[in-house]
Amino acid sequence: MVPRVLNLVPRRRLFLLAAGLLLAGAALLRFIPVERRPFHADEAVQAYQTWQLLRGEGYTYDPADKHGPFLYYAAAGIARVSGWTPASLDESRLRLVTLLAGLGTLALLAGLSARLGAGPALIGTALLAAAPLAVIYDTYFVQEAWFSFFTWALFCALLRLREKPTLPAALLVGGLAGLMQATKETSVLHFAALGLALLATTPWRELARLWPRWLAALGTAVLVYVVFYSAFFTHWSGVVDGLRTYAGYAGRAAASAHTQPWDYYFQLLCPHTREGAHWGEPWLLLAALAGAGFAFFRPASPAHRCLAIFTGSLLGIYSLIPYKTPWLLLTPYAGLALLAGLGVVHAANLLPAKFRVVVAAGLCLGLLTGALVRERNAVGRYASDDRNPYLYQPTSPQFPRLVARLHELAAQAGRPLRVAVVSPDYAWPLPWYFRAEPSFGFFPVPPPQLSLYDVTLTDSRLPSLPPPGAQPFGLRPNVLLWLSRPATAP
Amino acid sequence: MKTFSFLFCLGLSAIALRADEALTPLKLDYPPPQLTGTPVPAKLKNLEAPNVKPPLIMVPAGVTNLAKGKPVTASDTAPVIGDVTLITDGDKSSDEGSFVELDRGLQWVQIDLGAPAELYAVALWHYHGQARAYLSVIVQVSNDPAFKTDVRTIFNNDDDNKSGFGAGRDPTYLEKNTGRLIPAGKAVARYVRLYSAGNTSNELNHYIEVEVYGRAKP
Repeated sequence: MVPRVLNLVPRRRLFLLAAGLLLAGAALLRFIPVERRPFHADEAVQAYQTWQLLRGEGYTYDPADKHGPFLYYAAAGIARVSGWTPASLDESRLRLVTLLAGLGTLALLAGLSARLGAGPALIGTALLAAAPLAVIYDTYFVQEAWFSFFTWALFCALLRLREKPTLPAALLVGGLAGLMQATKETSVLHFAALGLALLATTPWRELARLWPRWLAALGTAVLVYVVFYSAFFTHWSGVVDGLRTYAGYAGRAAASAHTQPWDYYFQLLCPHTREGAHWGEPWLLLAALAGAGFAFFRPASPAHRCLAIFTGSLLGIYSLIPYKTPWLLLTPYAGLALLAGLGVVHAANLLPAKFRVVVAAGLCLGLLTGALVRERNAVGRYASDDRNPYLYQPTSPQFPRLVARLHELAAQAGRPLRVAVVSPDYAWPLPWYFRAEPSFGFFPVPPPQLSLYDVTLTDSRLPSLPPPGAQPFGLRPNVLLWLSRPATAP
Repeated sequence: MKTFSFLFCLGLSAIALRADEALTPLKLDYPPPQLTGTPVPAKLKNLEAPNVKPPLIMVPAGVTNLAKGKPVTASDTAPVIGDVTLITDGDKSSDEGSFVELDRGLQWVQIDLGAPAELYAVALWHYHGQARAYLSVIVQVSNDPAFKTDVRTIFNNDDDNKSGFGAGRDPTYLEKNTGRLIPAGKAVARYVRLYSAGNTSNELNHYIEVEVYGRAKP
């Protein structure tokens, strides 16, 4: 039962109207810049696999450095339902697939009003709706948006199971856990944080009493896992590979090129400057910290404590693992937003009743304004700039120039260009943009007879000097592709 | 003679045989891309060490940097980072606070030398803390502050004429801490205008420093 003081918006119709407006605003914020960024290398790799699946080339799980299959099947399914063909797949359409998950997460947060209170839920939803991190990664065609959605859905389902331990509730918990695992293998980290939160806020005997329900949930999770990792019962070794992947993950988490300091996420949210551009969300951090503190005092409920412990432990786990990228913050960020909502409402409740709503609205407006200012920079001026702390190895905004130049050269030649792309990491996202061109070859080192290709694109990280007259095109921070043509080329 | 005829016929036959050989198109290899993980951050490789001396400028006596401390105007009248005075303040480092960031698209900065001068070279430093090349770099000199008349272009690497000043033939170059030295060919002018249209890393335009070497009009 939610304490009355946390229900700043007690009327259900008003709450639904506010939640609906927030969702519509969030959709608009995410939809407008959807074409602004060229595909990130990771997005292109996911899109390529979706394209292959849609072309009927099937899917087999690869345990080396890859994630679960859910995103590809979801995108291919939505594509089939929407009538998209492999040729008509593009960035905007594929990003709509993850946008659905992002809006779903916002709806889940708003839906937590029954347990957290309408005030914290609405403010949390508003803060996540305007958060630059969420605006960016809700339209990033990688697994994170769906992963976050399933995690928060599982959070809600677990709270429900604890309150009403019915069989459908247990099956829902299992199904969502299975979908999390089918989306990203790192779900074990989220399971650990959720488990800790549940154990810390529920008497052990009460949880143990539910063992038949837990068994039903486990069975459902395993079933969902097998369905996806076996590529719908066509590739059985994928079921074993899905477990084998953890050996690689353990090594990758310990030592990788993506290693960051333990306080990386804290630094990201603290005020800082990157080559003159100002960033940081200190007020959100402070409000969330206050909310986490209030969660352990009256009139907070076990659901508030569960939220605080889950968010804190998930942030702790991600901070302890050396492998860090900004998008991993997406799930705990939603928790921070809810905690900030809780902090705002509790802080307002310390005041006389007649000031509460006004103060809460003022604080919320201040936080929202800050978020929108950052959001404007993060998806506007610095949408593909590596000074944007929410991005990681972004594709250069000038990359479309290269795509246009290659099309222009092909049009001049009047036939498909013979192109050799020489890059240690295959110059992603370039393979996505020329996925249907059979005369594009991708080499990690220069192939023999390089001069016979019409165009050569050479990665600036290779030791060889760029050929005379070669044109540079930006790929990623500090990585250029040198475009060169032999003298006889068209 | 018989031997010669025999050898001649043999040679012709060999040529005929070679001509009869079936020719097949050379097959190139087009391996598909491998699916890779998240790109690893690239370290800087192609920047010169800070102690590398800039290229030598050969000039007659009396030639100095006329741009130092001179007023600068820009197409972006309210830069988000820095201000245009940084362009002629003598600081060539790429540290924070040393550069001005102009908006997206084609932007220009213009230096007023105060009086017409005989110009020998323009030295230009865009942001050089990262491996990047600025696009559509055009340097013009004129005695008309509006650059409508008497405009002479001394550098233009806008090879596809995106900026509308005509396709340039100068090379695109990677930014380095030694800057880019552009000969001015003794052009007599009071104003120097420099264009760019983003860079290979982002869409924005940055200037750290511009030096204009010349002497008062003789």
